Amino acid sequence: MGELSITVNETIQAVEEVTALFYQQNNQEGMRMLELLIGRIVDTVSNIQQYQAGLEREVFSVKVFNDILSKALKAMEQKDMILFSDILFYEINSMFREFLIRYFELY
Amino acid sequence: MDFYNNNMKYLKRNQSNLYEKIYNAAEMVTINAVDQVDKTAANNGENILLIENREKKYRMNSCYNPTHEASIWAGQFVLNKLNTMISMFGFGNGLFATKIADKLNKEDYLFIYEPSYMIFDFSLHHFDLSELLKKRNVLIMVEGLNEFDFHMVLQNTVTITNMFSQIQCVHPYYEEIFEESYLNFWKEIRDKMVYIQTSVNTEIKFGEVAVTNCLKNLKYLKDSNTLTDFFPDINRDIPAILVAAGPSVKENLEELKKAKGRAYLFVVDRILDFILDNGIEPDFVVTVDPMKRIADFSKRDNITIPLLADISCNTKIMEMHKGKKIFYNGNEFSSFMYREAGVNPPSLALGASVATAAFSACIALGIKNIAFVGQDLAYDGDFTHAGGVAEKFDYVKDIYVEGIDGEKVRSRYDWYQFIQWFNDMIALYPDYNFIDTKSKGAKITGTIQMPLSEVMNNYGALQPIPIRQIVDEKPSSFDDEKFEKVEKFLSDSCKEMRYLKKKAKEAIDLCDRQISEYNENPNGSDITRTIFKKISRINRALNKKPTYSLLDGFITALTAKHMATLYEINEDDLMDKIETYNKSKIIYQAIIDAVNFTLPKMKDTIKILDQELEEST
Repeated sequence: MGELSITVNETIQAVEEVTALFYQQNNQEGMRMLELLIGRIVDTVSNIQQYQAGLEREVFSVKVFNDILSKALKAMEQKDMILFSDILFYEINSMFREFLIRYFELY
Repeated sequence: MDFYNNNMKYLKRNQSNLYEKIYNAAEMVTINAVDQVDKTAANNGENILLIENREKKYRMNSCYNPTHEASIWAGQFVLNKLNTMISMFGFGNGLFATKIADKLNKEDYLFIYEPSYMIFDFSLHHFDLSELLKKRNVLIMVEGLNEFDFHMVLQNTVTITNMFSQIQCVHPYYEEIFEESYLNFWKEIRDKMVYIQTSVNTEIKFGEVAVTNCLKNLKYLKDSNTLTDFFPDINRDIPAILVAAGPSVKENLEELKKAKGRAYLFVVDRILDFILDNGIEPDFVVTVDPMKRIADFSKRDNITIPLLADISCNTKIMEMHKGKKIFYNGNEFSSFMYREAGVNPPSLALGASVATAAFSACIALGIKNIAFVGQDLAYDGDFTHAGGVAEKFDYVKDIYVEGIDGEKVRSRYDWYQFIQWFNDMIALYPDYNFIDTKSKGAKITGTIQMPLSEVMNNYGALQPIPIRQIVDEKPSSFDDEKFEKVEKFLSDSCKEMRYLKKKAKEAIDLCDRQISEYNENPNGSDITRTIFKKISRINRALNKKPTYSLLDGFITALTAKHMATLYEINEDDLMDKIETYNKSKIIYQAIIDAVNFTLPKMKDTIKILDQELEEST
């Protein structure tokens, strides 16, 4: 299994851990870990983009990802951490899982 | 689907009290009404609860997957102790509560406090709550309908053994929407924890002394009465005046003098000398504290005023006192003893102070008009008691409570418990008149503010009451025949104590064998099962013995800190079993220590009673 898949899996797990904190109303701890998480997500997408650059077709839509991330950040600005967590858990992680499926198909 | 009727069907089955209140009075409940309650669909098709209040909108569930959100939320609560009580603030649409309720074991309870009937009613109509409402260990309290039940369930279910097994949780956003109710919710929980700790501290302080006093005070049985002996002699329409030791007593001295003979005058021991110094002779003086300082009873050595006493009250006070002793309360052991002798045992809900005990005595006598004098339950500047007495106080223990004028007044945590006790008791007697005569101090809910002069005008007897004569001439509860039965009971109790000691030693040996056996066979064996049955038989035998109840307070005192951890479960199953038997050994040893302490004193008491019986025959 490639390093990229490990990175993506770890990011998926990190999203689950941080969103669990917000679902549990543990916002203080969640916010503390959020900066790292966002950084990790952005790095992961950057790695995916690099990988994708060597392919003939698109396996991960950065545009769609950016739209979803904007939606999430808007929820965060409105202090709706449950909606923020939902977007990360269901949409961002969903994109990462779909990427992994395609990644393993090509591997 | 008709959610409402289905939900109400289960509510009627499990919480008929709440069901009745919803049926009869719910339309009138407006407390904590919000601007709007509604629902909408989540992405996965489940319904989400929406609340709008003070121009702010709250989405009470995840708009993607409410069930998943609630599961993760409930996942933070670990139920790893026996007999766990979960108090939850906020019902919402029942989803969060359902997820927590799914984790309950048979002996655990979930108490849900919903501050808004409007929200609860909406949920009853629009959400399927049947899974939650079916559970018999889930209780719902709705503010405006049955919020007092929350206070009562805490009183009845949280004890020293499970106080550390409690979990408190809050439905998301409820803290923000219902700030005041949220604070009251926490106050109830805090008050209960403080009460338990105080009770444990009391047991520790009084354990040995209470046993000693009880046995020594039995020598006064021969010439004593029980409170209920006077039940036929009391005119229930004549008021009782309870004089407590608060600073405001001095405002009422002249009226108390005038009230003499026209009301039943009960004074608490602390204020006796002050009252006597001001030329007032009460009808009864009340004492309860096993360790009351003599100086706080009286400087006088010739007190003949009838003394209302708990069987475990300070034995030195009993010696000092020269008049009639009236036992108004005993313990389980003395109750057995009274019954053996064919006498109705004295028993009251005492509360935690001599004033609450005096109050209970008046209720037990059926007196319908009870006036409080000096029941300040708040500071008057620095003074804590009448006569310019300023007890040392700890600022950490102070608290602000509601005053009779609606403003906050400074009080103490222990007085606050007394206030709560009075509030609870008064609520149980709606047909009685409870009058507070003070002009300032803490409010006692359910009392009417009325000056003492007006109390006497409205309720005072027109003819003098010969209560002192009645008391002095009343024959003792115990004739010689009954007294002999008391002696036999005590003699049998000595044999019982030897039996308790023998069985406790056997139990310790069995625990040691059990621990060895589990170390050999961690999964248990026929031997562990047999030993378990033997220990269970011993426990049943111990608990049945009347003498065990005499030793109970002493045993609690010796083992209090271990009792609090008795219900903790270790993750390691074997360690858990071994710990349980180690803790049990501590309790059995405490039984042995309690017997070693008590048996010689019991024998001394029997000797004294023998002498008394000889002298009287």
